[in-house]
Amino acid sequence: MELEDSYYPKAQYIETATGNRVSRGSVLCGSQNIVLSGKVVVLEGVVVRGDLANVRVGRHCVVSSRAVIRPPFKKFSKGVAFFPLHIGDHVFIGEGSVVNAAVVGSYVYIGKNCVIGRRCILKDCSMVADNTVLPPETVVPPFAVYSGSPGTHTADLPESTQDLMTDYTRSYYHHFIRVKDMPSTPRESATTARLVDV
Amino acid sequence: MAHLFQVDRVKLLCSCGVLKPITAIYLCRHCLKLRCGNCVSHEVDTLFCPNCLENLPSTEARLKRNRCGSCFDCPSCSHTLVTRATSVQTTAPDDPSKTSSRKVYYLTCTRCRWTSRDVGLKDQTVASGGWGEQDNEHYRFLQFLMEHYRALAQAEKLEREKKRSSHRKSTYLSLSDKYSLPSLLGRKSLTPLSPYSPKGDASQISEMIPLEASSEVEGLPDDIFTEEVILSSVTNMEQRMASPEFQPETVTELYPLRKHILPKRSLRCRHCEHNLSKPEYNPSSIKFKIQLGAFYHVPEVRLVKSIVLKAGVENGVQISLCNPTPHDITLALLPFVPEAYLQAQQKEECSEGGLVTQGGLVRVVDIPRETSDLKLTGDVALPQGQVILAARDDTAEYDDHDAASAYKDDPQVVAWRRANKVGMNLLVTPHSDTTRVKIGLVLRYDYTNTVATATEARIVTLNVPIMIDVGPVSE
Amino acid sequence: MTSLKQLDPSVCSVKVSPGAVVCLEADYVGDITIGARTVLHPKARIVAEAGPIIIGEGNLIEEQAQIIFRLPEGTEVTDPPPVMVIGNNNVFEVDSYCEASKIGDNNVLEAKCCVGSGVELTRGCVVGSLCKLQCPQVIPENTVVYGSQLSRRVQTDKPAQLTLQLDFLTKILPNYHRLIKPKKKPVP
Repeated sequence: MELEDSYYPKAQYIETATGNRVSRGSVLCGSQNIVLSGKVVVLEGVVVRGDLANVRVGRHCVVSSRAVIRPPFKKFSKGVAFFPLHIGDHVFIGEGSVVNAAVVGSYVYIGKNCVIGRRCILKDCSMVADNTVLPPETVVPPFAVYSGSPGTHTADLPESTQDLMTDYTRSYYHHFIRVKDMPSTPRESATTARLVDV
Repeated sequence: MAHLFQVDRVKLLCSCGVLKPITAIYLCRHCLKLRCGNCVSHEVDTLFCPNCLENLPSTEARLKRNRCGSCFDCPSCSHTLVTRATSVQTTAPDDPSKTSSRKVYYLTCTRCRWTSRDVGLKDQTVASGGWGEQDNEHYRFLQFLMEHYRALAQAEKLEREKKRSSHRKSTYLSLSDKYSLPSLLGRKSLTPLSPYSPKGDASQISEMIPLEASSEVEGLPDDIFTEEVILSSVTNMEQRMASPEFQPETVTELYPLRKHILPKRSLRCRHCEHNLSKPEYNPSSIKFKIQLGAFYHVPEVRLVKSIVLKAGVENGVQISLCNPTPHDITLALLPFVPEAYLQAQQKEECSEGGLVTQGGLVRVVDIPRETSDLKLTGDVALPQGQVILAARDDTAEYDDHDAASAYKDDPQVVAWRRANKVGMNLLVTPHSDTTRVKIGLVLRYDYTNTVATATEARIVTLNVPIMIDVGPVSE
Repeated sequence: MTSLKQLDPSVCSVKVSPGAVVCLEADYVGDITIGARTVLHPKARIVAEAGPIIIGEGNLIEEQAQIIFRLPEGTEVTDPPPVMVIGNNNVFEVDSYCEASKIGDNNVLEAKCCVGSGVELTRGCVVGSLCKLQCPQVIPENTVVYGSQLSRRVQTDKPAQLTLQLDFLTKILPNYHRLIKPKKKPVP
C-alpha cells in the first residue's frame, strides 16, 4: 500500500534550507547542538534534548509526535557526561517512543510507545516493534526484530529492509504536504505552563 | 516489515505453489524461477554473538557449545548482563598499614537488578574472562561415554572397510564440518551405534560400566511437608529450564548463563545449487555479496489506497508498479487462471522430481507440503496494452527535471507516472457472498539477465502470477 | 516569545528552595514546594489539584513526567487538605505517571511506568518501564517490579548514586533554560 498524503499547516511548521520540516509544537532544547541532516520530518510534541549533549539525526528521518530523543548518561572514571547521540539515515521513530540509545544505526524502524533504554545500540536495518521495552545496554543486531518487555529477538527482517526503509521514509517526506490553512484542532495546553507577563 | 507498506496484501506465487509477499521470495537467475523460503536450502554462513557482534569460527562454536565466551545472560530475567567495576581497599600482605585500592568486577542486570553477588560469586579481578563454567557432576561420566562410543564406532568402521576391497577416503569429517553436525552423526556412522553390535578390540576400548536401573526411588524428605515455602526464593520454570543441566531450585543457585550465538544464513536454490543470498562476513554489515531477492528483480505491485469495495458493482482500484532494475522493463498484465497454473506446475514437478532427490550434498527431508489458497473472489478488468517502466535511477531525487514526459502513455492504461513507478487503474467486481476480495493477475515482463551465457537469451520474458487482497466488501 | 514571563500566580504557586534547578517551561498547577538540589527538566508536569505537593531533596524529574495529585471522584474535601509527600533522591524518568500519595526515598520510576493512587512506595523501590501499578498496596523496601507480567524481585544492590548526575545537570541546565527563581529564605 502506498502511503497516504498527510497535511501540515504552513504556519505550524518551519521548513529549513536543507528541507527539514520541524513542527513549532516540538521542543528542541539546545538547538545549536542539534543537527538535522536534511529532509527530516519532526512532528509536534517531540522533545529533543540537545542541551544535554550533541544530537545528530541523519537524512530522511521521521520523528513522530510526542517522541523523546534524549542522549544517554554515562559515568566515567573521571566524572560524568551525557554521550552524544547519533541517529542514522532513513530512521522512523514511532509516536511516543523514548529513545535514550547511544547509537541508532541507519534504516531502523522504532515502533510506537517504545522505551529504548540507556546506552542501547541499535544496528543498521533493525526493528523495534510497538510497545517494546529495551532494557539498558541492549545491542540489537542487524536484521533483528525485538519485541516484548524485555525486548527479545522474536523475528527476522527480510534482506530488502534497507530499500524498504529508504522507500518508506522518502515516501513519507514526499507525501507530507504543506497546506496554507488547516481547521485548527483545539489543542490542549496540557504540557505548557500558563505564563503571564510580569 | 509487512506493516510498512502492507507488503503481504500482494503475494507472488512461488514455483512450489505457495503464496508469499515479494520480500520473502527470491528469483533464481539460472532456473529463471521464483523460489520461496521453502524451496531453498538454508545454510549457516557465519556465527556471531548478538551482544558483542563478534564472529565465531564454527569449530570454536562447537567447542563452546554455541555460546559466546564473554557475554552472559541474567539467570533471573534473561536480559544481557553488564560488567560493573568498583574499587576495593585491600591491605598489602606484607605491610598491614598500607592500603591500596584495586578494581574488582561483578555482573549486574539492569532490568531486574540481579547481581552476581546475590548468589555468592566472588568479584573478579579481570574485566572479562574471569567467570568460569559451573561444574557439572555428570560431565565426567558423559565424556567417558562419548569417548567409549567414539572408539567403538571407529573400530566398527575399520572392520567394515577391511571387508570391502577398495579403500576409500572417508569424507564424513568434511561433511560434518560444513553443516556443523557433531562427528558421530555423519550419515554413514549412524547404524553402528546399536547396543547389540559386537564389541571390537577389547584392548582398545575401555570397559563401560552401564548404569543400573532400579525401581526404588528415594522418598521425599519429611520437611517438605512441614517447612514453609518462601516463594521469592524458589525459581520459576523459565529460570529453571534456562540451564537444563543444573535446573536450580532455589534462587541462590542461579548462575549467569552464557549467551547463545546467532547464525547468518545464506540461501541456495535446491534445484540448481546456485546461491540466492549470501551476506557479508562482518556481523554489523548489512550488505550482501549475492542478493537475488525478488524485490530487486521483479516489478513490485502495490495497492495505492485502502478502499472498501461495494458489492455487485465495478470498483476502481489503483495499483502502482515499480521497476527495481537498472534497465527499462516492458510489461503487460494478463488474466490469471489458478487451475491452469496448478496443472502446469504439477507437470513440471514430475519432470523435475528426479533432480531434487539427486541434489548433491543436500540432505532432502520430507516436509509436509505447504499450499496456499488460490481461490479468487473477484473479477478484474485489466487494462490492455504494454507499459514501459523507466529504469531505476538513484540520482533522480537530486534531479529536478521530470523525465516522465519522455514516455507517451495511453491515459486509459497509465494513470500516472513518476520516476520508475507507474500507476494503473483496474476495475474489480467482487463475487457474490464474499467478505474479502482477492484478485489474481499475471505480470508478464522482460527480464534482462546480466549473467547470461552465450547460449542463453539475454532478455527473457517471465510470467509472475500475483494475488492481491484488495480489501473488504461493504454490505 | 516575549521576555520576562513568569508563572501565572492564579493557577499555581511554586516554592523553590535554594540549590534546586526548576525549569520554567514545565506545567505547574496548584501549590508545589520543591526541596534543595532537586532538578526538574522542562516539559515535566506537576498538578496539585487536591492539595499541596511537597517534593523532597535531590530528586530528578525528567521531561514528560507527570506527578498528579487528584482525589478520586466522590471523596469529600477535608480541611486541612491532604498533602502528597515525595521523599528524597527519587527519580521520575521520562513519561512516568505518578498519582501515589506517599513516596519514600531512593525510589526509581522508570520511563513510561504508571503508579496509581493508593500505591505507596517505601524505600529503594524500582518500578520498571511500561509497568502499571493500579491496586492499592504498599510496595515493600527494595522491591524491583519489572516486565509485562509485573514480576517482582528484591534487590540487594545499593540504589545508584544520583549526586554526580544532579551536579552535572545543575551546571548545564541554566545555560539553556529559564529557571524559576528560588526564594531567598530556605523552606522550613
